[in-house]
Amino acid sequence: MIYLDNGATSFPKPRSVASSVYDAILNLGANPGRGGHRMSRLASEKVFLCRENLAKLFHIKDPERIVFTSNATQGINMALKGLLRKGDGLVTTSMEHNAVLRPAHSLEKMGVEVAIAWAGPDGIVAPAYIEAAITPRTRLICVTHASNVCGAINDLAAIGEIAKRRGVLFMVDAAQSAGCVEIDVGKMGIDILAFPGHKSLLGPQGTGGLYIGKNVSLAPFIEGGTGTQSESLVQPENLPERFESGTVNTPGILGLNAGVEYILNRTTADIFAHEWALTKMLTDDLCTISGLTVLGTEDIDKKTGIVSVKFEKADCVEVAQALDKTYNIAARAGLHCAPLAHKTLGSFESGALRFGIGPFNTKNDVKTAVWALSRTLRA
Amino acid sequence: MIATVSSVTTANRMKRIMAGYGVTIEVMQTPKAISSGGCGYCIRFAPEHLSALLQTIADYGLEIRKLFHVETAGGETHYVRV
Repeated sequence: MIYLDNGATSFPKPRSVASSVYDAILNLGANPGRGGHRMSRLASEKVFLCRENLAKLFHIKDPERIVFTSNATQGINMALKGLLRKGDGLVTTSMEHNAVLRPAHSLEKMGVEVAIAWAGPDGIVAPAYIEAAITPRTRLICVTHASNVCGAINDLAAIGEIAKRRGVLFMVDAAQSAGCVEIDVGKMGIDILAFPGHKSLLGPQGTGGLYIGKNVSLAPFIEGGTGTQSESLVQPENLPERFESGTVNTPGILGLNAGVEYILNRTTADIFAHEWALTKMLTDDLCTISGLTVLGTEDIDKKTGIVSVKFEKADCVEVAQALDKTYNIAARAGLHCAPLAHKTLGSFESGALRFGIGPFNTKNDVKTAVWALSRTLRA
Repeated sequence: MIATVSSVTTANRMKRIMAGYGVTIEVMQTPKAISSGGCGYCIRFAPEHLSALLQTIADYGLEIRKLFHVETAGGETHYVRV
């Protein structure tokens, strides 16, 4: 199979990810932070190592402020619902995934003021539009780093500067960027960072994390056992335990750590450059096919490896099915859980076919996909 | 000596930090005698490393909760609060 659905989840993973999960289940099955025996202690050390490597990758000073979650969506919900109360304001964008838009909609019904800053047809949100949407009630700006529909990368440093100057917290959904685009929470002024473990961080599905800055006070999403202060009925204040009640996903986290180690060794810059070259090739080649339009920005420097096309006549789902059945190529059609992004890009009615390039794709993958798409549209 | 800390995560971070300075500390479950609840973690280290430990973890914004000397006499272990 030619796998070009890395926007949904990355495949393949480094072999070290699989072997780490296997080793965790086979040799390190104790519960980390729940006892004093050596296997439990070793498991907790390995879990901490993953926090440490994530902190290194995102330039976070305190690894304890990274909380493990099941995915980015869980982290986003923890942050939005743990922070915002009736009367507060949220500024977000039209390029958000439903992971942000749906909890934002629920919060709006509960009395939170929600303002949407619309991106241009290139899929990039102008920082000035975000600033214009801030009101005296605004407590949080929540922005996707990179669009899951067209790959457009937002200028986080500029938005972070606005948030700091206006005294508003800044949260970033890094679902499509963590691991393939540089993230520096300090330089970008990020207070809260939600990320999946299973996409460009190359970890197993069911992993993710939430960085919570020191200046952020969140109510815990769930409460329960933390392995500490068991005599108290009050949820502990210290992180990460405050937000990690119940047993963590040790095999998943150890697999995630292997993925992060792979990225740290190869470097984010190298992965970005690899995906940039393939993205440019894919975009250029797609533009030679009649009957389709590439969505979003034409500036490849402001894109991740996500490339979507809408068709003049063809049904995007049928095209995806043909690519799968006839050519064994995996791509994703539809609205990609991002309805407002498709409205922004003019593809809400038609939907789109999305290709997601990953660190292990090759030029041959891209050439074959474009050839197969061209033949499918001619058929 | 033993120092109680807020969590196993903090204990592991202290262990990793001090290992970078060539100081070995052990992470262990806090003995019931000095724990308010029996579920908690502490670090164990040689007394000569105390000042280096306190200085280093302070540089990283970390802190210990309680500090104890460990004394063994007559087959019993006693924890003396410092």
